[in-house]
Parts: sequence; C-alpha cells; structure tokens
Amino acid sequence: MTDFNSSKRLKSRYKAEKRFKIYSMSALIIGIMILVTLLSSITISAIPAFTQTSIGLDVQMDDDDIQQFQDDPKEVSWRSIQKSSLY
Amino acid sequence: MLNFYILTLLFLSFASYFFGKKTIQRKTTVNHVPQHSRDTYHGFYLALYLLIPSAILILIWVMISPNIIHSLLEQKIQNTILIEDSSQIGVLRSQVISISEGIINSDNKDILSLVSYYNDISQLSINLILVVSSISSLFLFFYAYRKINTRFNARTKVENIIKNTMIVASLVAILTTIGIVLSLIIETIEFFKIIKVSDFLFGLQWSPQIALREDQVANEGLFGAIPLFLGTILITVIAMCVAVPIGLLSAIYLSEYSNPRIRAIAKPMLEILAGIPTVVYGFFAALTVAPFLRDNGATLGLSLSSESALAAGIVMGIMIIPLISSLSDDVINAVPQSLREGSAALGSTQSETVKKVILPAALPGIVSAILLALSRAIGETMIVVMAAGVAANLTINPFESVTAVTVQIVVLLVGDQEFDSAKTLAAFALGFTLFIITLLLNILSIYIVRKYREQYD
Repeated sequence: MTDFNSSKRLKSRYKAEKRFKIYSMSALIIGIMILVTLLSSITISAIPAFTQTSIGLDVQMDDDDIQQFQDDPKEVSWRSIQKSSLY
Repeated sequence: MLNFYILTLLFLSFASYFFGKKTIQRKTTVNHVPQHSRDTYHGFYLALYLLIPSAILILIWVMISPNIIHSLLEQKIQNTILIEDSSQIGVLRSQVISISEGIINSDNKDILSLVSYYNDISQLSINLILVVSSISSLFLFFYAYRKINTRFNARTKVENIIKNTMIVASLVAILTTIGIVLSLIIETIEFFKIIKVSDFLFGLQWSPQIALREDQVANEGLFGAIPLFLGTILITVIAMCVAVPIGLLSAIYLSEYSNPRIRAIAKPMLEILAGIPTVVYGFFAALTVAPFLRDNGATLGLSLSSESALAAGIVMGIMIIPLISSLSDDVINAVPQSLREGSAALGSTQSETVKKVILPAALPGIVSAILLALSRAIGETMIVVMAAGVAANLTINPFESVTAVTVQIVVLLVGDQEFDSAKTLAAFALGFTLFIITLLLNILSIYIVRKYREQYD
C-alpha cells in the first residue's frame, strides 16, 4: 500500500508516458523529414535544369574541302567531315 | 481629357490642404479664441470637400454612362436603318464603336453617320460630367472654406467622412461576396433546368460529354455527381489520416515537451510547409510520390494505379499538417497553466495531463482547426488536378485512380466554353455544392468553438 514506486501500476504508467513522448516526438520528426524530403527532391530534380551539355570536337578539313568551302559552303559534305572527325 | 481633369483635381485638393491650414492659422492669430480642431484637420476638411463630390460623380458616371450611350445609339440605329432582326442591332452597335475607336473601317454612309453621332454623344457625356463635377466641387469647396473658423469642429467632420469611407469599403467587400454567390446560384439554377436535381445529386454515372452541334452523334451526357464526391471524400479522408496524427502530436510535443530551443527551430520549419505553393505539391505528388508508391506497391504485390488516390491524399495531408499543428499549438498554449499544475499536483504524469486535461480543454479549438483543414482539403485543386485521375470511378479503394470535384470543374472550364450547355453549367452546380459543403463545415466549426469556448477559464 505504501510502497508506490514498486507497484506495477506506476511502472506501466511511466511506460505509457515514455511511449506517448516518443509518439509525439516521432510525429514532429516525421513532419520535418517530409519537409526535408520535399525540398531535397525538388532541388535534385531542379539542378539538371541549370546544366548544359556540350561536346568540343577538333574538325579536320583537307584542302579539297577548304577549296569547296571557298567556292560554295553549301556544297561541302559536312556529314562526312563530321563523321571522320568523330571516329 | 478626363485623366487631365482627375490629375488637376488631385493637385488642387493637395494645394487646398495647405490653403486650409494657412486660413485657419491666419484666423487664429486675429481672433485670439481657443481652437476646436488642429490646423491639419481644417486642411483635410477643405481638401476632402473639394475631392469627394467629383470622385463620387465620376464613379457614378463611369458606371452608368456606357449603358446610356449604348441605348441612345441603339435607338438611333433603329431610326436610321430598318432592321427586322433585333439581334442585328447589337452587332451594328459594336461595329460602330469599333469604327469610332479606329479598329476597323467602313465606307457605308449610314454607318459613318452613326459613328459621328456616337462620337458626338460620347463627347457630350464627357463634357457634361466635367462641368457638373467641377461646379459641384467648387461649390462645396467654397462652402467648406466659409465654414473654416477657430470654433469650427473640423476634426469631427473629417473623422465622420473617414468613417463613412471605411463603411463603403467594407460594403464593397460584402457586396462582392454576395455577387459571387449569386452568380453561382443563377448558373446552378440554369443547370438544373436542363438536368434534374435528383439525377445530379444521386446519379452514379459521371460522363459529361454531350453533343455540341445538333447533327453530332454523341452520348446524352450523364451528370451523376456521386462518384466525384466519393473521390473527393476518399482523398480527403486519406489526407486527414496523414495530417491529424502528425499535426496534432507535433503540436503537443512542441507545446508540452520540447525545450524552447527546439521549438524555435521546429515550429518555423513546419510552417515552411504552409508556404510551399500548391503547384509544387502537385508535381511532387505526381512525379515523386505516385511513382514511388506504385513501384513499392508492385514489390509488395499490390497493383497501384500511377494516379492513385493514395498519392494525392498523402501529399494533400502533408500540405495541411502546418495548418493543424500551428492552430492546435496556439490553442494548447492558451490552456491556463493552473490546469497543468493542478493535474501534476494530483500526481498524474505529463502524458496523462495532456490526454485527460489539456486535450479536453483545448478540444473546441482543435476541432475547429481540423474542420478548417478539412474544408481546405476539400477545396484543394492543384494537387488533385496533377496527381489524381480524370475519369470518374465509383470506388473506395485508395489504390485505384479516382477523380475529385475540383478536378472536374477544371476539366469542364478549361478552354472556350458555351454557357448554355449542360456541360459547362455542370461546373457551376459542382462549385455550388462544394461551396455549400465547406460553408456547412465552417458553420459547424464556429458553432463548436462558440459552444465549448472558455469552459475552463
């Protein structure tokens, strides 16, 4: 009757207290996690929009091509030049 | 011409403020009597009496003069040109106005004479308003100028004018609300002339595609709103299942357990969620949450639609977490400290205090917070437009795709519409029903707050 601390009831009450505190703390943590997830997922998807891909290529033109380019730029076979410098 | 007049008027009333101030200062030094109002009030009195009559007259003129000019023009059209079809008059009228504004040209003699008539009466009406308003402004200015005296109660007069201006401003807000509701009601009545009320409220099929031309082969169009409202309710219930536990428990943690340092960081962080635009939530739901749920559902052996109600509901729940948490946080903080101390003195633990004392004491506020969040969720559009489906689907399975009322309103009103077809008018009927539902929820929350308020104080 007098020894309250050892009673089963008090123990279970303290356990309930601990559980409730953990529940409420985890709710707050979940809320903040959601915010972090949301912001990071938006940021991660947004970053590629600020990048640009480009390829630098050394182009080899032989004398015939240069002669033709001076005559008429439209007649140069650009595709074959592009191919030969790519591979 | 009118712009020049308004600018002059503003300048003159600005000048007359200083003029009024000077006048009262001069009279005070002559009379040696204690002054009733301070100098600035006399200045304001003079300026307002110059400005207000013109402002009112010009406002009235702007509202009614186009109608008068149009009806005069229509009469003239009927007199000059014989027209059998009465709908032709409106066409001719807008033609004449367009020619006068220089948008189109014409060499028809009758029409040109009408244009010059229109120009004449427009010019006349502008001259009329300029003369009338300047005369009345001058008249009232001199009336006010003669009143200025040391014993004159200019302050009371100016305060009265300002008070009346505020009344008019609040009336404008109220009238706008009434106008919105009235337009909704009128269009809804039009809709119910075509579709029976019982078909709309209790119909189980929603398929608003109807023939737009008379010779077109199409369905009759089914306007049963039950699937839409069921979809809205399903998504809202999911949202509340997410938002109420997280929002309420974090409010309890913030106000009862956390130390001030954590609170100072965590509370603003949760409130950031309220500041994110709903479009962002929308594509977060459609592009991140929905695929994530679908893929994980597939591993678990569940077949989730990629536009499942679950994704839209969860994200909508996230959106209303801060609404619930910050409102209930305020309410919980408002519970008197003596209740907590009394409960602790009786030997209860902190969680028992929260569950048995604080929550009951804060209940009206919490319930009204939840109901506010609920009506916000029901009316939410962008998330469901982006993340929920469009096809009406009568189901309560959260893994399937459902549509919501707001989605259908968007679908019905996007693009050019004809406002005499049931398809377009259905949007107004849906909007009206939605408005009634959220109105009832708001009334309920006000009632709850009023009934249980200050029970413990």
